[in-house]
Formats: sequence, C-alpha cells, structure tokens
Amino acid sequence: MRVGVVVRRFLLPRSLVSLRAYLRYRCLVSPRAEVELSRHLRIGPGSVIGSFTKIKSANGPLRIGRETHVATGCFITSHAGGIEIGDDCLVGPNVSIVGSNYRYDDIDRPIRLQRHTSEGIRIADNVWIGAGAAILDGADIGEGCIITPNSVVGGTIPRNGIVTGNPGRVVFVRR
Amino acid sequence: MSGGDVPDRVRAVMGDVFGVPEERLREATGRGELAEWDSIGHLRMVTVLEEEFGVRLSMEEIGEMDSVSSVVAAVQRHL
Repeated sequence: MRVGVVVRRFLLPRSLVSLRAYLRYRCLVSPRAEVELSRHLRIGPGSVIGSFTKIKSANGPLRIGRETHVATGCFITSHAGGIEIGDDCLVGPNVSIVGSNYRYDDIDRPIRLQRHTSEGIRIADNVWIGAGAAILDGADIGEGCIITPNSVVGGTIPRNGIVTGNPGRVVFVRR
Repeated sequence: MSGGDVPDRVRAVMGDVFGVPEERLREATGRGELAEWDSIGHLRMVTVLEEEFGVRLSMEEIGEMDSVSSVVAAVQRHL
C-alpha cells in the first residue's frame, strides 16, 4: 500500500475529513464515518454520509450526487469501472455497493490471487435502497427504483422498478 | 371470458403468488389473515394479475384491495 493511501486511510483525523468534505463539497460526512480522501471521490452538495459508513475510492471513480443520503454502516468501494450514485437517493443502513468482482476461473489458484474485474455500477436519481441490500458490480439501476431490504442486485433494473430477492427481480413498476 | 370464471382465476393467481392453497382464499379472506400477503406480495400479485388478465389497475385500486373479493371486483371493473 502506498504511503499516501496509508496516511489518508489511517492517519487523518476523521473530523478533518468531515470538515474538508463540507468545505469542498458542502456535504455532511459523519466524523464517525470512514471516508477515504481520494482524487476519484466526488460528493454533491447536501448529501449526507452516516456514521460507520466506509467509502473507499482509491481504486476508481466514485461519484455521489446531490442530496443523497447514505445511512449508517454502509460499505461503498469503487474500482476501475467506477460507481455513480445519482441525486436524491436514499441508501439504507448496512447497504453494500461493491464495484468489482474476483475472477475465479483458475481452480488451482486461490481466488484472492486471481484478478479483479470491474464493469462499474450506475445508480440513477431518486433511487431508494433498503437496509442490508447488496449492489454488485455491473448493476445499472434506473431512476425512481426501490430496492427492498436485503435484496441482491447485479443487473439492469428499468426505471421505477420495485426489486426484491436474490437475485433481485422486478415485482412491480411504480406508476 | 365469462364473468363467472374471474373469481376462480383470481384465486388461482393469488394462491400461486402467495404459495397457499386456493381453499384458504375465501371471498372474505382479508389481507391481515394471510402472512404471505405482505406489501411485496401485494405488488407481485398486482403484476401477475395484470399480465394474466391484460388489465392495468390504478394506484388507488391497488391500495384499496384488501380482501379476495375486493381484488376480484377491481379486476372485473377492467374487463
């Protein structure tokens, strides 16, 4: 791990990160959140990052729009494909948004030693993600969708869809 | 389609969506009597009913469907 990453990740006081986020982006980052400062990270004004949420963006672009609220205990990590979360989204507690996958095609090597893939994740505006949901690499969630708690989403969801289950399926389209 | 088979077809859809035998779905059976008839189950039921009957229910109707008989009535209004 590079020295800069170590410093940003472990040595910067959280209150400083919160202050910088407010001054730079006009967003509210809880001093109890763990937001890694990175050139890849953009957070829109009015957005809120709750306590104990961890955001890692050293490995790829991560954009969070305006007035988007991320609740407590979430984990968001971007890789080469990037993560884009739109405006006015609600991300419930303990949601995971993970922008990469391990490859596992070599049965003779440990999975952790095989390469990553990263298609990226796109979450459009006005999406509500329920508590405990997992948004996997490759997910493309349309505007106005609702992801019910503990659902697992890795594919394309049309706008205004209400999604539930693992794998997440559209059970209803809002009208 | 005869009007008479609509209630049976609605009950068949509901039984399938909620995973309960149709005998449990009497005309007066209400939403509170079936644990399987939760908010997500309700929306799944609406989606399957709309596909089965080729109708489109309004949000008001969807909100008011709280018993087997009211579901049947809502579907019949569109046939």
